[in-house]
Amino acid sequence: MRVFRAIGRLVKGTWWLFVGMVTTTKHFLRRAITIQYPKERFEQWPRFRGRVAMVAGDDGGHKCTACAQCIRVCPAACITLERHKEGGVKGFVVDGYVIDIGLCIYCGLCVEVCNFDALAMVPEYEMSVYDKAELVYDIPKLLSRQLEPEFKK
Amino acid sequence: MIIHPVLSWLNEWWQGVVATYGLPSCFVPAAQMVVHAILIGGFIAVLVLFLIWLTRKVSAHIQQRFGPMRVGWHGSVQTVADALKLMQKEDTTPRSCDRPVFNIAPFLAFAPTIVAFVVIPFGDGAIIRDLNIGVLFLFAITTINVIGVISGGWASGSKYSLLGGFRSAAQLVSYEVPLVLSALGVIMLAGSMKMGAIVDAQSRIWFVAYQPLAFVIYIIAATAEVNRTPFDIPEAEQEIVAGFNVEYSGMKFAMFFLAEFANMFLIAAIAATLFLGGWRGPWLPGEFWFLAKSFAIVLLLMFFRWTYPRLRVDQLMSFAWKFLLPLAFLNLIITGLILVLI
Repeated sequence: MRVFRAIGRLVKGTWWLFVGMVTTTKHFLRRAITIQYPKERFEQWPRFRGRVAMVAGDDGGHKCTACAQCIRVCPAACITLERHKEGGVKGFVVDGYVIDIGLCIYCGLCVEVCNFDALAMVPEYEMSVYDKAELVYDIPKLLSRQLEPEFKK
Repeated sequence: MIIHPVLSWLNEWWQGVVATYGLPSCFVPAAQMVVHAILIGGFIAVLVLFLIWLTRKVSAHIQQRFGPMRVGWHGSVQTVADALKLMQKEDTTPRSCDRPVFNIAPFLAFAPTIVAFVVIPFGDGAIIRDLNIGVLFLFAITTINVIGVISGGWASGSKYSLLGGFRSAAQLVSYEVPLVLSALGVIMLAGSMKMGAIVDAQSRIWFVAYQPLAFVIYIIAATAEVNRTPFDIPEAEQEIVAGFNVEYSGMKFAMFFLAEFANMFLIAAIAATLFLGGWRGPWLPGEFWFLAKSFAIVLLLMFFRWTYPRLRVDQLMSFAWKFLLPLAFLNLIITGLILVLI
């Protein structure tokens, strides 16, 4: 009886070899799923979250109040803020607000924590530059790209 | 059909030249040999460039990738760029190596492949020497390849190379037996070892119809012979890095690579000649049919590579000696009985 069992195993094994070849051929005939990156780009889904940007207010300027919540929460410590007190004005006056995109980890915690909707993630992801200094984004640069209105936070 | 008239025209022209200028008559065969050598060398070079591109494309599409796409049309010149890069590379020699053997091993591995192409019938009359021991010569010559591989593995002075060389030697020697035995069935049917006679004997029906078992055994043993994937134990990446060619770089590595791919085509060409009717086919010239059949087998080997996982060393050996060898003998006995009885 062992002979029969061996023959059975042989037939079964040969069958599975055949099944394997059929699977390979099927995949061979399918279309390749590679996206040829610089020539083609993938279709961005509507709420794709790329780099951080500042949201423009009604007057076109930023909405930052210099509360420094984003700086406190940022795990990569990539945000720098310069501010000072001024007589007669409630709160702080923003002198400078800089995000080093080279250090940013795109976690979005600053956007989460911002109480004044001053920050948002915009669908921009091709951030490569030739000089590290170009990765340091100041206020005009952070304001340069805005979200589509329907996706405002 | 294509090659033969061109070659004979060239030969006649050269004979005319020799006669006109009163050169010694030994110049005629000498020039013929040189032309043949250049033809084979050029054919192998172009073939390997194409085969490497084809391998990369086929393997990529099996994994639903594109493979090389940038250099030339669909990356068709990629291999040329890679070859140029290999030529520029530093030719490193490990300190612990056996220098003369290390340097000569790639050529030992590659030379038999070129020699073996001498008896391959590319088309009607397009065979360089139709030796009357054709098949025997072929298998005898291709086995010399092992010496190159094992001496390369030994001379590298690295444990991975040595293991790869040993494994390669063990595997090639044991798979040589079923390979030759499966070819023996064809030789019995054709009644000759001459490649031309074997092709002529298949003018009506291909031998694969008479010898299906031998064909299967041949394909399996041939895959093992050229170290393709289900049997690529000599260069199993996960176990011994790259086997016998770990320490090789630059052009010496390219020689091993060239030998591997040329061997793959050679084994496919032998299969096409012995089992699939060689260059015989309707309407189109014989060279086309020969290449089409050979490349069909090459594609089959490539599909094997991306379908089947690698065997273990002991599985490989027991498969060869306990399974393929008895089957080959069985096939031989049945063929002999039928030949005697009918």
